[in-house]
Amino acid sequence: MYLNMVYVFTVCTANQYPFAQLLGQSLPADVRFGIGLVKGTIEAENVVLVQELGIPDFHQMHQCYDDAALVAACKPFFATYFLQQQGVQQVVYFDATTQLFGDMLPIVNALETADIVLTPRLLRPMGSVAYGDEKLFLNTGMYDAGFLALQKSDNTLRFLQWWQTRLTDRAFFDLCQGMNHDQLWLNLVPVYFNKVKIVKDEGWNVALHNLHERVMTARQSGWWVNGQSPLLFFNFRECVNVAPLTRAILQKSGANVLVSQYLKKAAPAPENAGIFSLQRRLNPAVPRWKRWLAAELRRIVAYIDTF
Amino acid sequence: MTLAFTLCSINYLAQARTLGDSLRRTNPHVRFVIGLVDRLDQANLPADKMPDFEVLELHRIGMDCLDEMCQHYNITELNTAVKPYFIRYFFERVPQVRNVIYFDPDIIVYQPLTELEATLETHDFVVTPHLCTPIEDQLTPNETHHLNTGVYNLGFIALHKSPQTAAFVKWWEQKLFDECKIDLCNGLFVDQNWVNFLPVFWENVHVQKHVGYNAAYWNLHERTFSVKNQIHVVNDSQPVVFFHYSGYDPQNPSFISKYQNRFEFGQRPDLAPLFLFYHQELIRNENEYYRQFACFYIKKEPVYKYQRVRKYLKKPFVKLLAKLN
Repeated sequence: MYLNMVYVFTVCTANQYPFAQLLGQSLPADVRFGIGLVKGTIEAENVVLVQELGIPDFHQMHQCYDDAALVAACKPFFATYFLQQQGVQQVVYFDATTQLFGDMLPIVNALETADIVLTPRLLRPMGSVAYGDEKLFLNTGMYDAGFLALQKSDNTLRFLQWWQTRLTDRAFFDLCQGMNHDQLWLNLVPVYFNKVKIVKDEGWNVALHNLHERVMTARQSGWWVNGQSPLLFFNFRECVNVAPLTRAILQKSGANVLVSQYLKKAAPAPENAGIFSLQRRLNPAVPRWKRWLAAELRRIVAYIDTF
Repeated sequence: MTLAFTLCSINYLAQARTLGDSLRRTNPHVRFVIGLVDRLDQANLPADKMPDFEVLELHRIGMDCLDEMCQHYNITELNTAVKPYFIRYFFERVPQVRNVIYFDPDIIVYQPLTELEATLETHDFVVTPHLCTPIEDQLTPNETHHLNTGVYNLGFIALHKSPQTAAFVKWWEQKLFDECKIDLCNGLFVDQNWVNFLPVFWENVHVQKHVGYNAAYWNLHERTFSVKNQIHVVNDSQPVVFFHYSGYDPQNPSFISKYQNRFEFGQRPDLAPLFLFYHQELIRNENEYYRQFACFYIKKEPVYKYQRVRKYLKKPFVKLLAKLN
């Protein structure tokens, strides 16, 4: 009943469509679900092509952004689009690589008192762990752009318009220039806009970057986080391309079964679907001899500078 | 008891004295301490140049790791890195301290801090964002700059003594021991960017969006000033509680701040009374005299000669490196 006014959506490219379908299958059957497609074409009832939105600068965005940036940059435009559909009062965005494990009710409830609901990427200090250390989050974003929930209001529309303007030309991945696609911008949202709620619940938005603080266990009733919170949704974004580092993190947190179940279901997706992984982007696979040589060369250059 | 403090080396004592004078005028009940990142016994200041305020030198707060920090930090880094160490000292060693407020030395407090102290009765932390409303242009500084350097300005932070505050201060100390640097590509901007985590990791944080708090060059787009009944007022509605004259140089009084290019005094006559007063205060507090002192803790950077020869020698290695990437 409460789902009448909710629209869940994701944004992806045609290559990533199998992930979006899996997301749809994890949702309650009676919730409306739309897929915003920014590249390629898919013939399906719930697919909305980006061309239908009439984004004024889309041509330019398409030219200068790679797939990951384009998916990110179109998000607020699709959010506005789905908010404007008839009878819609709330929209919920999930990354295509997300699976919902529980009920939508906690998310819809959070919107009763808030217009904008975000989740932090970390909940507590961690020092240094296999994924990285805290400073990695400082220039990539406090809040995760893989999820947001919005209540229709002037405040929300103002936020979306603000985000759209910036993502039209500043959605690159360029950490040195204060840009991480759409995500780093969210740092400003609780400061600029009213009625922003930050949900600090360990069952929400579990992903590779916060598994060090969340131990996953399977029970009869489903997956639990740290033995005390039911898993509400998990984003597999950085688990799709399994590197040795990923495997170690998954093993330690108990999430490896969960992830391998997902990957089995996602097998039809093309291998080069272009799902963005921050971890992979920052640590590209470089052969060991190359890394060693680069370090030696840097050492020599530094020495010449100071002898 | 509320204790306010600032941090500087001797070269900024004119600013610290100006701040102290302003607190004495507006908040005589607040105990003010200048945390000095320098050594008075090495500088030989004559008696009439000693600030008429409580001065606490860095080497007296019992930091185990001070020598090591001095090795790897420059003057800006060191002055910002010791902030949590001083906060901890005040909470743990000074009896009766309930609230600690940090102000950058280049701030003037214009109003009683009654409201801030009331906020600290219900919250453990008070911080101020650089911006309360969006900036539409891309001049300097714009939103991407703040995204790289921190949402909140750490020229100000206020804390109420509590277990949460102690936990935060301890965490911050650990970070600033060796990662209080400017390295934007790796997420570092001295002590400031770290505080983005404050409302995420800790509860009871009040983000104060009152436009009279921490007004400075970075938020002039949303704040205009006027004087009413001899009180500085912002946006015709609120009193200026404290103004942060960051990047203002009395040697170059025609610039609002060396860190911005959005406004000039010509476009902003509303700023004249605030800055004229600050200029006079710095001169009265002998900026000319203090500014010449070099910080005791900072070793001079060695000068390396033969730059052209070095460049020539490096060339093949740099070329190979570029090829590798």
